[in-house]
Amino acid sequence: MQQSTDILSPQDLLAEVRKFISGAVRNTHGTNTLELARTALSLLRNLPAARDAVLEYFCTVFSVCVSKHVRQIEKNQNQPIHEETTIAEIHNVLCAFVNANPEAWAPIISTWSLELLGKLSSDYANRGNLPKNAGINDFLQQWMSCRATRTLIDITTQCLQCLMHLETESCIKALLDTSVSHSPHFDWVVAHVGSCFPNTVITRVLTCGLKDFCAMGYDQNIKNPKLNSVVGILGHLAGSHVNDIRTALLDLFRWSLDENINLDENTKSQKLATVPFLLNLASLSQTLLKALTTDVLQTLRPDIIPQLALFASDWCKYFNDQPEALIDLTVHLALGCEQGASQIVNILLDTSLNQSNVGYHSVNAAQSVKNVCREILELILQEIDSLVRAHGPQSSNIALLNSVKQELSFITPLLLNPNPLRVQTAVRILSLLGAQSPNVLVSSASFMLRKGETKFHLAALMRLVTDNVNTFAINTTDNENTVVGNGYFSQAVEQAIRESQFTTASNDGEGRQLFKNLITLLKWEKSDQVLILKSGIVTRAVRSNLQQISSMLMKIDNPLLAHDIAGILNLICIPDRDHYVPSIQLALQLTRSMIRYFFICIEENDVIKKVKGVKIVCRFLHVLTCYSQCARVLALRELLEQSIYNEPAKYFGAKVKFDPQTEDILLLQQNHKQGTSVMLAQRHSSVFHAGVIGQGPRKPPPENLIDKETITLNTTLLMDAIKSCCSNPELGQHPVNLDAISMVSLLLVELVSPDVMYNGLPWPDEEFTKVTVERDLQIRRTFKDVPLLWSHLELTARYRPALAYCSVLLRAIAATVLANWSPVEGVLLANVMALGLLLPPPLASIRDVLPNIKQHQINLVLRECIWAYMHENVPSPALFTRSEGSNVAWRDPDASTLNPRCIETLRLIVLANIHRMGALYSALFLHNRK
Amino acid sequence: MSTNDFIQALRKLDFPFCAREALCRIEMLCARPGKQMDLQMDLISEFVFGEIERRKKRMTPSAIQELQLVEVLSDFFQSPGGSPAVRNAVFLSLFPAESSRHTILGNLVSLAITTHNKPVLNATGIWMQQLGSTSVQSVGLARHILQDYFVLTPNTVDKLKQLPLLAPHFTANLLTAIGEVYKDRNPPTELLKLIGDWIDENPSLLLTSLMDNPALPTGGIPMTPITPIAGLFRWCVLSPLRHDPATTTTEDGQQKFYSKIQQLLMDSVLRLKNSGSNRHAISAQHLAATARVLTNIPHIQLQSASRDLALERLAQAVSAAMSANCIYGNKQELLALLQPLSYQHFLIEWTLKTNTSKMA
Repeated sequence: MQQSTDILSPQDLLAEVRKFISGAVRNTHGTNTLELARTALSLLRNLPAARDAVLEYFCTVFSVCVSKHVRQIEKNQNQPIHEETTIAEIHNVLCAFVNANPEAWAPIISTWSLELLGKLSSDYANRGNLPKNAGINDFLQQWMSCRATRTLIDITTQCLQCLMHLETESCIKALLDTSVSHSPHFDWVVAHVGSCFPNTVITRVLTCGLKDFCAMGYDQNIKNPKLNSVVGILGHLAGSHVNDIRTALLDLFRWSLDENINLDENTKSQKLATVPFLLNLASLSQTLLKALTTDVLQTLRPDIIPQLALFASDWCKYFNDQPEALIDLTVHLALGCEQGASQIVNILLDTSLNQSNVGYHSVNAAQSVKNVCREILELILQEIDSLVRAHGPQSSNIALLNSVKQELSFITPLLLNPNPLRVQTAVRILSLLGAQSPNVLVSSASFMLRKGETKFHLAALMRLVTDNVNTFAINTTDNENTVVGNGYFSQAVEQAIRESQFTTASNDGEGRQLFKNLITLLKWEKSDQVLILKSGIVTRAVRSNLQQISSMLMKIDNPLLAHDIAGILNLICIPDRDHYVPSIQLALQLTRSMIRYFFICIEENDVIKKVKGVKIVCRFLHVLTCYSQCARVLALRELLEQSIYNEPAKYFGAKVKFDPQTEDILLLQQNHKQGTSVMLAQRHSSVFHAGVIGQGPRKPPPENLIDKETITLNTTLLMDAIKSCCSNPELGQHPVNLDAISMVSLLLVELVSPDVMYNGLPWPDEEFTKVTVERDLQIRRTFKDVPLLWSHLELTARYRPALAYCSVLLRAIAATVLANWSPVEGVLLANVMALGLLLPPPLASIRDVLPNIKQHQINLVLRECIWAYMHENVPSPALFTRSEGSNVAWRDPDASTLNPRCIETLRLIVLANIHRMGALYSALFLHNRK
Repeated sequence: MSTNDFIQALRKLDFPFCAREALCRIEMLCARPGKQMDLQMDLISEFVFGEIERRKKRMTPSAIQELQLVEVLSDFFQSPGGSPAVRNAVFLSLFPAESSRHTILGNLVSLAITTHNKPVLNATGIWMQQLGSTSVQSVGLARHILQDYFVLTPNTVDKLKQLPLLAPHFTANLLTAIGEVYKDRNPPTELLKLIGDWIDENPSLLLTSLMDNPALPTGGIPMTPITPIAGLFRWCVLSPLRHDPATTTTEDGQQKFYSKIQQLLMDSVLRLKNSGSNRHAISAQHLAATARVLTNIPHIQLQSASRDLALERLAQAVSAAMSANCIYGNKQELLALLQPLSYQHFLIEWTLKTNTSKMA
């Protein structure tokens, strides 16, 4: 300020005044504006009395500038406006005043600038190039580009900043008062200034809006301009001050709930109007809705609801006394929530399901609150439903659904709630969401499959899955629908299986539950009483996951889980009436897993479970092998190989596999052991027949501890399984397929005989056994280790002529018996050969002869009777004739001539032991003669 | 020219000129014996202040018009010719007690102070005296002037320096009103300094309103003037009690000014003793109010030193006034009020003793 320089004499001052008056009154926009403004500024400094007039004159300067600016905008020109220099000068002086003496000048200047701003913005609101529905930001942009208004805003902000700590209230009041009188054109000022003092302005704007809302009374509509102003201002501030707005909204809400009896009527009615006010605000702006829901929802707990219930009737008055309108607004706001869906749903559910009436002022009120809550919930769901239907499932503009998607982890648990309403609600929400994003559907269905424990929940699951198939069939082509429709559930099953495998390894409960649930569902479907399941959705889903199921069966160790999985496979019945054909790969995999399950059953201690399981296996294998030849081959091979050589062999009486434990050998120690003796390659001087020096005597292999009965049972079951693999498609008179049994024989030969040569049917000359003695012994050894092989031979013998293919095995055993005269094997051999009709009638009784004769005679019998006969008569399947329509082949005894030498030898030997075999002799030879 | 013709002629004139013409006419009307008060009032409200809007709205904004009017008014009062008594009468009718024209009056006075417009200031002085210088209107005017010169444009305080020389009567009344403005709070230091200088340089200032006879139109009854003495005494007495810890630094400087003013006040009062004619210098109620404030302040709140100072000054004021015999009104009440204070300060006790014995 130029205090010292321009002290004017009274006369000069008077002259200045006159000059100013004449200039100001003429009110022309001549070139002398700057000069006049300087006069005015000097008056402002020196003549307090002229203050108002000077400021008023500045108003005209500013408005001239603004009007020029607006005109330039409209004409798209860009020329310098010479008033701008004046304005800059004015700006400097005014700011200097305010800074020098804020208490005195700031109120005056701020009032002046606010009024001027208000006037300018309402006067020029419809000018410029702004569209009709221009928002606050458009205004801001237009006005901030104008020098005059920018200067004014700056002055105002400075004043308010100076005053803020002195008298915040009155400043904001002035601001808002101006805003009220120039609303809505003034909003941009409030918004802009507000961002300098967000906290105060937000609170005050809200309070002001509330007062206005309250004062408007009940008969108002949403189009209330004041409300729009509040929304606009807050919306602008929300950009950078969301937290302040949130706090302010929350405070307002809390304040409205604070019950204090000592209040005047005015405040009371304002408190009552708060909630409708907030609702209306939220309905006008998504930003505010978001701010409101973030915090207020947290406050809204069930214990507050009764408190709110008291006010509800008063709130309705703000909606033309129509509760429906209030509910409708609430529903639409809820739909617009971008977060907090789970809270909204939960609070509605909690309230409507709350049993107690504590807190409500009457039982009726409690009931009606609960009803309203249910109604709102229902309406929300309906609304989403119709929106989804109207815009198609891909429209993702329903905020609430998006929110649900984010908060799935809170919604999904509702699916397993014991309460039906919660479950239904969750099902409906999720199936609506599922229309948009099927993976939600899939994951929640999988969740239910894994965790659901009651039939009720399974029914809900079915509803969740089938709902969508029906709802959205219209929008997709038929072809797609079948894929997608059963695809969802298939995917769900797939996911469930996958997830159940990766839960804590120690606990298979989830997996068991999953398969139990699937069994239940399949049973429902089979019962044909559930309409929705008639499409066979469960079957299809299970089928498409057979791969996973079977591979899971291959992996697991828990027999209980295995039983459950087998239950499903049992129900699924592979090649079904609807001609479902699994691929070869799948069929093989299923076979393998079934065989594995068979052996799991064999290991089972509980006889009932064992038999039940084997029955399932048999049934399944029967169906599968009838359909698929390769499955049959695999199944037989697996069954035989496993039962003979692998781990399960011991359950069939085989010698327990003995694994002599070997320690890690250190080369150094080995070298020490050698001592001074000569080191020889490929030789170990410490290994002996009785053991290895240093490791003690060789341990005998452990005994097989499984009792005889179990072994018998297991063997029977195995035979059943083999037979079911070899069965004809239609069980009936002839259940077993002879070709398949022949395959068993061939497999036995392949597995037992160590050589690929000399495996032919003909028995060579006896002398030739010297050549094959090694492998004969090996075969004999195998038969000794695995007694089960006799059962296998017996099986093939029963179904003639399959045994003929095992000729090599019989030959090997016969050759060893020839050599070591063992009656036991001899009996077994004779028995099997007789059963297989490989020996004609008198020779068939050799098994009865052998135990009763001397050892050397055994050799004779075998050589002269069996070997000689077999040598002469090749055991060919061609010898067996299958009668018409019969499944059993018979050998014609007359077709092959029996060498009398054989009969004679036998007769003489029996005769030599006649004291023991009188009856037999009579039966064999005397009877025969007749 | 009949009155109606004249009004019609005036209505044809534009704003600043019609006001001016109307003022001349009003002056003429005032000078005549039959005053035609109604006509005067009509002319004033229609043509001078434009309160009755008969024609279409003027284009010029109102604050500038106001400034124009103020300029016209000050020009009119300064114009040569016309007796001061008539001018004063016009002034009084322009600004009656109950009106909304006080802002304009404030601006007019403010302008007059700056431009050394003596007639206006004199007229204002009389206006203040007639309405009572402690009345709401006068205090309002004083506030306006203080606001203008001390708060808004502190650089123009110098303009007030010469005021007592320029218009002593106005200054005296203004001083009384200022005393009322700062009745319950401490005045700013600059004001204290100014007042100290005023009284120092013009010792008779405090008594001016008693001495000068206002130039009133015939038949006008001058009101009893109120001197600033009692108000200023109040400042001096109560200021030590309004001890504000925040302003300790400026306190010492301020207290010096108070002491100076107290000294000057005592001088003036004692000077009255000699003149003997002025029994109406100080109102007993005025002093009693000060004493009552002192009585009502609880003991504990105060530092004994400042309390002693306050009591001492009060005692000085009362005893000096009593001895000068320039107190009017209910002196008994004043003394009764001093009674409870007498136990706290010997000077009060002494004053009480002296005066009670004298009265008795």
